[in-house]
Amino acid sequence: MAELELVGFKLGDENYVVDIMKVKEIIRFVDITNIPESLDFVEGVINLRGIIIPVINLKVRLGLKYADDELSKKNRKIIIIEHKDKLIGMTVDMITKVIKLDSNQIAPTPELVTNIDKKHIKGIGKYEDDNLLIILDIEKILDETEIEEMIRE
Amino acid sequence: MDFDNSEFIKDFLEEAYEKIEIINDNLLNLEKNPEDENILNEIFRAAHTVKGSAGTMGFESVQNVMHKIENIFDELRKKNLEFSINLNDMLFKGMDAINEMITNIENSSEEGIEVDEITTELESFLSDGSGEKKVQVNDENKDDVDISIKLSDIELDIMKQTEKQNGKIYVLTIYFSEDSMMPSVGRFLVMQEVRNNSEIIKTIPDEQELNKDEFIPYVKILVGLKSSIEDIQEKVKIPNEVIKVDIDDFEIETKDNKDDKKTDVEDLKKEKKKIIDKNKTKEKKDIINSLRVDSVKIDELLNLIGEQIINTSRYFRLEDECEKILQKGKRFSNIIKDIEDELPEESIEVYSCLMRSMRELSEEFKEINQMTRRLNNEMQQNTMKIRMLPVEKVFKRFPRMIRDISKELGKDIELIIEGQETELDKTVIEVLGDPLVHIIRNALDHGIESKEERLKAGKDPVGSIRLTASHQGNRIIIEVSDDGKGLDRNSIIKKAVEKGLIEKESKDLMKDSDVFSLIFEPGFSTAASVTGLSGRGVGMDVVKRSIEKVNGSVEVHSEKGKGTRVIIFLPLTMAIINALLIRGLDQVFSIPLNLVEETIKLKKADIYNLKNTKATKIRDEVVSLISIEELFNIPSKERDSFFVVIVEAAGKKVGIVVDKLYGEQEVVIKNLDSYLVKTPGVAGANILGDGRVSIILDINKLIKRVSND
Repeated sequence: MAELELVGFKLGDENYVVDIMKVKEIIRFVDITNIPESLDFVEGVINLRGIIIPVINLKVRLGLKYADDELSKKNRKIIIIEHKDKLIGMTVDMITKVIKLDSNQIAPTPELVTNIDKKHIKGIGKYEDDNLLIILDIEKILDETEIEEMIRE
Repeated sequence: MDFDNSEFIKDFLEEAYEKIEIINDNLLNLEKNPEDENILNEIFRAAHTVKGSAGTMGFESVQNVMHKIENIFDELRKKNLEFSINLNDMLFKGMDAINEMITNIENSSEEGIEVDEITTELESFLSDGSGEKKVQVNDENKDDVDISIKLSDIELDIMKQTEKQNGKIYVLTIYFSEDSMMPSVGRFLVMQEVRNNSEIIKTIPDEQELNKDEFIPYVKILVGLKSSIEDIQEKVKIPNEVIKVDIDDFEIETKDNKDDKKTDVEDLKKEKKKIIDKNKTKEKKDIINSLRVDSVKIDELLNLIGEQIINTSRYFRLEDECEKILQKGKRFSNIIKDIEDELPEESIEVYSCLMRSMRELSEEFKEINQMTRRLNNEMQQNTMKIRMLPVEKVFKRFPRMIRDISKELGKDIELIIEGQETELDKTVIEVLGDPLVHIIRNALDHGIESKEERLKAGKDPVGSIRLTASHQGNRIIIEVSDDGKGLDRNSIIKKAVEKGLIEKESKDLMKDSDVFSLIFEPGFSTAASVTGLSGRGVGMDVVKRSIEKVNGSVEVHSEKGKGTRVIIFLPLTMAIINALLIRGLDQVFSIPLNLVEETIKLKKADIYNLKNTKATKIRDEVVSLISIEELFNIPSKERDSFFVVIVEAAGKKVGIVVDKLYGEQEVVIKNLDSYLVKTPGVAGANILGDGRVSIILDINKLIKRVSND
């Protein structure tokens, strides 16, 4: 049975996971330089060991509206994703752990499970009894055509 | 082609471009010194190389044209053909065709043009009885070749037997072509033909030597013939492999000892080596002195060094930490001074020991850091120098261009080039070509007068254009000057008024330099007639824009009747610029320093409110003010006192209101190429000393946008 390794993190109170194969590394929160006039979910750019990479705010990108409380600020991390040979950072509220799921533990996305657009979700994972994990589709979230369209608007 | 040659193609193209340049340069030199053997040889060698590699790659048209050019130079070298301007025009035409084909190969991997006409035309220069002389030359060669062959006893027996069977014994001398792609294969084919048509008694060099994969100028074979002399001559003469076959009678003289036999082969080897060496020495020298490296690799190295510099800045902070601890220690010793007697002696000892160690540590840090700073600096400078190329790369094309155009215009023009060894960043070099072509064409077309006009004005009938490059501080200055008629102030003003670029009333107030700089405005052209060369009015504004793109600037000076000078100022490198660091929008931004005129501090009271903009007066000049927020369409914040950066951008002077000035700094430009951050007004980014990122503003774009709103 195919086993999937996933990195678990929190956005607000909800648990999310992404495929570990897409994750290059996880770094602590650093100063982000804002880019004037960029899209609202683009936090700016950071210096990752001499390379300048863009960072997006995953919560804003997914349209989630959680206030950044003190707790989440303290534990905030940046997940560095490798997408089409380029590095992109994503801010998350807290890293939980690495989770292994068998493919039979993954169900297709039901209607109205969260506030997130269904197209950004790969599926729902069931983990340790009733804990629901939302498996995010990084390719779709970072889709260049969609984002370029947003810039044009 | 049936093998994957993409890797070789790159090498082939690079080599071809290099050799084409060499040939074109030397063709020009040849016009001045048609007898110079060095020039003839150099062209011949370059043509030979390109022909050979084009053949290997299967580009037949390039090979054919180059072959003809090579032949012409071979004849010129041997003085069988006389040099003429007509011939040179034809040679240039041939080289143009080759250049076009090479460019086509680069773009679409096909040669893409018909060359039959060109090869025939080139051939026509060759067909005046030169073939006859060629044989003669080869016969001269033959004189150097000793056709005697020494035989051992066994070989003598074999020979006698063959003589009985096949009659007379002959010596075949086969001269091989240097152009053979695979000399050993060629020889194998030749030997097979020899074997089929004769009985081989002995070959010099021996068969083992013949199987080696290197060029051998000729081979001598002692044979008894199985077919006629004519027959064997024709069969053995395989095209592309064999130049000539001589058949001589063999007569037995006296037997010689073994030592002589050896020297015979040795001589042949030596001769072979001599010929090869002659061809290789020049190229070998080039190989030793330079190394082809992908520029991406250098950029990567530069990135790593930048990273290292940022990393080591953390050590510099440690130096400060040590200093702080020392200061605290001193304060502590002041505090305990009064109660020193009450403390146990040991504690005082431990304390002073601690302080001593701390001082030593601090000293050590200072020393290491000083060294590291110096090394980092040198490392960065040296790596950047690898990216630099001599400006000669661009200047090279102009002698030919001026030759052709002045011929076309019927003007006599001399080109003087100076400082072509001056080095510039590769990126800048690449951008520089087109602007210079525009400027020089303008000088040729509009600057330099016709011969009659020049004589009438009491000038030398030969016009001159001077192209110079020089170093000045951290800038490179490239200047194009001519001794032509100069810019005409009145006609520029007239044109500018017509085009609505200036108000008619302001014309008398304008300084010459302001008038002349109008030629850089889009759509401006003073040429009465539009020629094929220049004068469509798209030239000079494109020139200005291209140069600004690489952070340079351009000026024009002119004196009526005396000439015009166009001066281009360029940064030494594209990877590093001088920037002014400022604070605004709660972060640090970088503004390229080449655009900054000056900085001033102002108070709220210094601002005038015009219709819908704000402005201030600087030395009686009204300068409009734009806040850093407004540049990005964000409502301006209220400031009581602030700094203004006066920039000259998008053709006007504007003051940018910022919160704070941090001063000038050399910054390493990093690309910000991500679809996520594609916003106007961002020219790139750089990493600050503390590791944070600062955005480099594209001032030209930002100001143009604000003024269009």
